[in-house]
Amino acid sequence: MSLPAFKYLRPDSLEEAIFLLGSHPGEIMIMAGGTDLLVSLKQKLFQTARVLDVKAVSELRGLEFTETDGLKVGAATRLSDLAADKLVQTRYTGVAEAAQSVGAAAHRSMGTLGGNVCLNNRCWYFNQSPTWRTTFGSCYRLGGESCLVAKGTARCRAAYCGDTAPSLLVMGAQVKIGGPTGFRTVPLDELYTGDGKASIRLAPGELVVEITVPIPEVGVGTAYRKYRLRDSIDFPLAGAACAIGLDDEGTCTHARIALTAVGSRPERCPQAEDVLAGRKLTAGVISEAVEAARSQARPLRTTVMPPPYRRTMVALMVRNAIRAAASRCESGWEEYPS
Amino acid sequence: MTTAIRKRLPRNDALQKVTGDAQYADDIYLPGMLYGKLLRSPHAHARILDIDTERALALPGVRAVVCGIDTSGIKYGTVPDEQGLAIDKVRFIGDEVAAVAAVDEETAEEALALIDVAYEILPSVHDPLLAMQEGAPVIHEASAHIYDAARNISRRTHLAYGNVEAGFAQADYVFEHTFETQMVNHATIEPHSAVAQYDPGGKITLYSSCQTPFLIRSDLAATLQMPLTRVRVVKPRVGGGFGGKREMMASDFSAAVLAMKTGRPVKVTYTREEALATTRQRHPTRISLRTGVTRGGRVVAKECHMIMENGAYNGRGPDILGSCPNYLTVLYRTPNIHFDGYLVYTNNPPGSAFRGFGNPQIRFADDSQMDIIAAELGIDPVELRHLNVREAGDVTPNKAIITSCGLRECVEEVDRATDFRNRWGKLPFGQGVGLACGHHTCGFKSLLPHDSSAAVVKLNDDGTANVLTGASDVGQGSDTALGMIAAEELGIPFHRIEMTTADTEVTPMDLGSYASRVTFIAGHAVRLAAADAKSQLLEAAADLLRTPPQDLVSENGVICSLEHPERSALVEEAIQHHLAHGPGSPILGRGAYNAPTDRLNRETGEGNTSPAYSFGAQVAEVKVDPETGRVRVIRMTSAIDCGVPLNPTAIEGQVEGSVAGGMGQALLESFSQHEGLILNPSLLEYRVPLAGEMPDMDTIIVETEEKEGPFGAKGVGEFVQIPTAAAIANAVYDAIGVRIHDLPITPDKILAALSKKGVGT
Repeated sequence: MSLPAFKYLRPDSLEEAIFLLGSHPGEIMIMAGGTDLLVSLKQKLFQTARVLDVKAVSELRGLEFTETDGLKVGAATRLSDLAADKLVQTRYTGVAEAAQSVGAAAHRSMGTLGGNVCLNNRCWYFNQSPTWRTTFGSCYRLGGESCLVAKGTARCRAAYCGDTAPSLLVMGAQVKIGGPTGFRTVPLDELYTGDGKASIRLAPGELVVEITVPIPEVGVGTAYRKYRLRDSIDFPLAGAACAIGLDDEGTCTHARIALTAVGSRPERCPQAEDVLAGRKLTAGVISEAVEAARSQARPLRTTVMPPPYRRTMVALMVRNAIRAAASRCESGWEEYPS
Repeated sequence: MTTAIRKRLPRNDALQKVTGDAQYADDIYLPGMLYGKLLRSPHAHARILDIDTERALALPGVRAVVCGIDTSGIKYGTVPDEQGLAIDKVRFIGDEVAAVAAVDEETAEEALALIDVAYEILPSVHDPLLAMQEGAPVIHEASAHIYDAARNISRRTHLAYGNVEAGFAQADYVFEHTFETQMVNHATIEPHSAVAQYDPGGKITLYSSCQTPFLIRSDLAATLQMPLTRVRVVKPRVGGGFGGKREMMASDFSAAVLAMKTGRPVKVTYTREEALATTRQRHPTRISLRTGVTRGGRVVAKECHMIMENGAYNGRGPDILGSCPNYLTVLYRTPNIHFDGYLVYTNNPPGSAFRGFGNPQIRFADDSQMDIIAAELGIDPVELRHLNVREAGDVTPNKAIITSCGLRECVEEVDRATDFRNRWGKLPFGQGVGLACGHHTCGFKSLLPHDSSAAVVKLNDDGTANVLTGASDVGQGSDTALGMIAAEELGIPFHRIEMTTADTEVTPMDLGSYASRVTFIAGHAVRLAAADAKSQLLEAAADLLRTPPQDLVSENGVICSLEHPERSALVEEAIQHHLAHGPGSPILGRGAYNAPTDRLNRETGEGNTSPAYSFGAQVAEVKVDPETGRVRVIRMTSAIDCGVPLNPTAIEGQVEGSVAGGMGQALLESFSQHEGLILNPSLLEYRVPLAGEMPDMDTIIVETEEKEGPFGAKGVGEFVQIPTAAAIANAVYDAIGVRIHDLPITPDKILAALSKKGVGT
């Protein structure tokens, strides 16, 4: 498999990047580390006349922290840099854990936060060579009548499989988006459409510029837990992020839970969060929240590990993330039996 | 003091490989070269009604399109049932239908989509048990080669040794279990690749990523209907074979045919997807094993029923099935054996040779069952092995002759190194240790009536030597092992040896890299060639030093008189003396070796088909996470008897590679299939273990001296992978009390088994 021909554009500044994007709306794809896009282009998953490489755009790289605005991470900041940052490790532990768990070392040192947040949704039918795909005919995403993995569904059920999004969602992250008409900032949650076919809500000519993560609420602990078969490399088969705040009595004052890999978007688990809020985190209460999260998960069939097993892993990852986050709370935490 | 052997010498290709300079088939670019691509069947079973290549040929840049009908259609293989390109029928998804040569890969790919094939889709069958039933779709037409075409049985191997009935009558206990093993791919780092060049004089040269250049030359010559002189196969550096590159592939055949048609060189390199899904696989098996043991723990009788799924074509399947009884007779002393095995065609990708040649499947079943027996009898697994291990001097029921055997010591060594007996059954829940044993051959006389190799050693006037042999280094390091043997025999430093391997036009014949035969069989040939050169060298030195040749020794590049130690000469001085005073020819040594073995008797399964047998024992230490069901191998200790260790570093490399391969099959590797379509043809989704998954690995070399082996050595290529899956399965049982009978041992199976037992989340 070879890369198709395309025009390669490598702007030096954000202004130039936005100009180039705006000049060819819909006929240009954005590349940062290339760890996902280049593979997809080889597999002819997308056709594009141009690739805009934003690696050289200095405004998109680096991270900055202030006690007023919190953490700002340029979209083209390498995941390895994010994971290795001491401040991120201390104040945004779950984000550092998520960045550290992406792919293999080579992916992390090329791949970027923006790229991982905007990772294309995946499924075992779509992410194949063109020769392979023609054996089955076109799936919904490729213009066919229905999904070929979840047979009979007239929508694309491909799953978001990035690790970082859930860890950012539980922190209330926002994304700064740049485009021909200027900049806008939206909650990260709104970046995702939930439609596997067009999963990222960006208008033609727009790009993600920065991810901002507010100052964590005082005393909150965070964690990300990922289930995969090989620690060396693998997308999550289940992933859960959690942020927990506890008061001095041990009552949960803040609870955020989000999942990845088990739906068409990374998503919060409001019911599970509600279970925890205002209660002491006993084993029983945690189990109740875990159940709520599990019932929300919709794992699509993959080539390994059947969906029922993966639901069990969702539950386990949620449980582990809650425990890890709670134990990182400033007030300290010990699990009480129900 | 030795000159080379027993030393931890670095490989002679190490620098080229680590710097990226090593040339593999796909690195070859010839002037005017075209790129070939294969059109593959999208159907598991279909009749080809018509192929229209007109639109493809009209695409600018396309130079040729070839279909099966344009070729001889001659079937090839050990038991021939496969054509280079299919003519009448396709039998699995990925079967090759046509080949295109174009000016670049993109054009060739584009042209594939323009070939119109009319198929009549036939019912397909994907499960060997269904394929064996009356009325199942018939995949191959009846022929003399096929045992029962109507029931898709390519081969049946039905044998008995001793008195099975009487054996079971002696048994105090009889154990019966069924085990299953999955389809596994070689997943070589280098996919299959071939570059063919046709010279107008009518000769084809094929640079092929292969393990067996001489056998591929035979297949190619037969299918192209050309004499062997007009087919030249050159093996460049090869990035792994493991049995997956020991037959002619459609890439080889198509590159040759397209080169002949266009008159230009043609390269065909498989994508990872093609290598994983359309080449060859380890046969999936279903093995029912019934074993009779005495109260004291002696195995007295064994009955084995085996269904081996052949996939669409034979590959080396019939030979593999034919070897399976051996795997039950050699390792443990089992006087009475009944074996009934079926090799069954399905419309899945073809199975064939893969490190162990059927032995890992048998061993998983047999050594898992040994563990069950140990627990049931209250005999620890070490003791149970000691009661049954093969010993040197034994002749097996099917007449294999065991000349050297360190199996008992291997079991003792792994026990000692891991404190096995004190930990087995006593570790906390979730942690376990497991023991298994294995053996394999050092050659295999079955395919041909000989198991042979030849070599030539040429001495140069600067004291260096060229070794020419058809033996094929495919990454296992045989160029290093053979170079060391030559250096040792000649008495010149290893770095002065240059290996030329393998080119069917230049190097003497060798059957290739399989059956763990290279060190042993090619090693003999190289040693004999070096000895022949050395005797000429010493003649020359004798003349130079005025002392009889019997008085001279050659060591580390110096020839020295034993009688008069002050008389010595450098090797190059002796060579130059020979050139100046001899008949004018440089020193040229020749050597050949044909293993003194019996060809496998297919009717009786009898014969000493290998000149020696290597043995080993392995202990796996695992941790099982009862919440996820994931198994982590913490440490793998292997004690191995490969005769005299020629190069301990190279041996450790083979052991570690074997552990990785065995662990992959045990825990991770599996294809997800839907009616013959492989859903995960990528290294992301077909999960081989990577560095992060590997355990600590310890290798203990238990030295024996194999009288028949070159410098006492035996093969080490395969046998260490053979016990690995059983060792891990046994350790999992020790850790959590759950026995997984079907590979791979995946987390979902473990959780299901735990929950059935009432343990777990």
